[in-house]
Amino acid sequence: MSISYVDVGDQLRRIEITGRLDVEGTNSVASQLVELTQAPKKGVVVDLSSLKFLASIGIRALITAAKAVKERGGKMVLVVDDGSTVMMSIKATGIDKLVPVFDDSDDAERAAAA
Amino acid sequence: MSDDPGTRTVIARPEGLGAPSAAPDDRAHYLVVIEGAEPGRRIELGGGPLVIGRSEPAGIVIADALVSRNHCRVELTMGELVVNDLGSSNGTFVAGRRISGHALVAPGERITIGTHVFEHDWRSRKEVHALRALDTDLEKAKRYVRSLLPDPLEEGPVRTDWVLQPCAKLGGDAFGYHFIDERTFAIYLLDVTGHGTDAAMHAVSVMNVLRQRSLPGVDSRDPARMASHLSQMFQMDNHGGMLLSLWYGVCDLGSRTLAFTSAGHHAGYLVGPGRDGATPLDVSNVLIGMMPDYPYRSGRAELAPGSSLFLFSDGAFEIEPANGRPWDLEAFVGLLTEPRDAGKTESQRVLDAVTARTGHRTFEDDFTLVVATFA
Repeated sequence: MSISYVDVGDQLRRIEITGRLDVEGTNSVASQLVELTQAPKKGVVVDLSSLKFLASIGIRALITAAKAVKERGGKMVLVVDDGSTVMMSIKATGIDKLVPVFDDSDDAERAAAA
Repeated sequence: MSDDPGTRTVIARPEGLGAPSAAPDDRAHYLVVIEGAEPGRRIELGGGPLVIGRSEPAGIVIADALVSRNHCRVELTMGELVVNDLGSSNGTFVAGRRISGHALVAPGERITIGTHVFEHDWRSRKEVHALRALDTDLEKAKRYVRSLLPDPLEEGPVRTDWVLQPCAKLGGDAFGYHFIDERTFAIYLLDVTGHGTDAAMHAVSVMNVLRQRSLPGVDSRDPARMASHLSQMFQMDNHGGMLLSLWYGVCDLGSRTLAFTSAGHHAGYLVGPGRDGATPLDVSNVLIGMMPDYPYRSGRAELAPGSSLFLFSDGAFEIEPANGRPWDLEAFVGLLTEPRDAGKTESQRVLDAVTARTGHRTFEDDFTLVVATFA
């Protein structure tokens, strides 16, 4: 389980989460995710393409972060591999109706910066 | 990708439990049963070497056919937990690797023997006291959830059976069913995100709304309206960030139709009398509590005589198998159409099959399965 980030210019932050967002994994990264998404960058890309598993508790952490970003006038998007089990969880819970989801990370960056 | 790679900063790479917060001098070493006959059982170490085995005189006796009589020995050496395999038949595993002879077990690491999993917990006695109090609260919450669950229906136009196996941390699953009137049967299953007393009590609040046969201003025969109503009532911003997934169906026994909605929940499955396939019943919606004005939609299905509806929580298929064989939703759904077992209810048959295929007797999340069969 790890969370890391890269700032790309003044307007964009890329956050990558790897491993498993299950109960233990989420407990250890949830507060960092919120903190990282609160930085005054307009666009936030959360890259989940190396994530192996996304439990409902992880969905909740992502939704909380996305709402906070929206509230401060920013835009958060996700990068998820099509056809992965993570994508199945995203679709089942409907988070893709709140947060734009992209298969391609360039598309995601463009959307977040727009 | 942009041309500017920026600076990559790794913020955390936590493994296992992480560091408990209390003063280190008061800390003791424990083995906690994560999976097995008594999940949650906590054994303090430090009083000399302890043998784990199937029968006495082992110091820690566990009822498990895959465990040898004298399976392994655990002891503290210079403040470190060391486990010694005593020539067991099925081996001792530390962090998933079979050991030969002895091995160190770091705090947060797990020891697996047979179907039992122990975790090395290193924390202050004060915290352990607090945890025990929390366990009592969890027990109360568990009993409260139980008390709301309906009895199986053994006769009449709809027969039901169910299993709800709460995990040690209590996962926030609940379900119910009732007749709205003579020919209208409502059935639902919900799963609150997260674990513990808070999740369970949130499940109870939602259940208390669903259990009412009539709600002012809401037609409980209309699944989409019901979901919208609940979502407005239980927005996450006003409920400690809690979200839940819900499957809610209303069966019209006269016209033999089922109206249903799935709100952030995976499909329920309908298996026809010929058991030649399981039809997923889901509608693309969002979790309850996520968006206040989301226009929930519903779907419809026909209820052939003798068909069965299977509702379950994600704890039924989000299981990491102990034996390395893949386990997922598809594998779980495959079990639904397997032949009935005359000696068991359908829910018990499926639970037993999951146990056999995954190698787990207890699960990391609540395991809930409700089966309704229509005459």
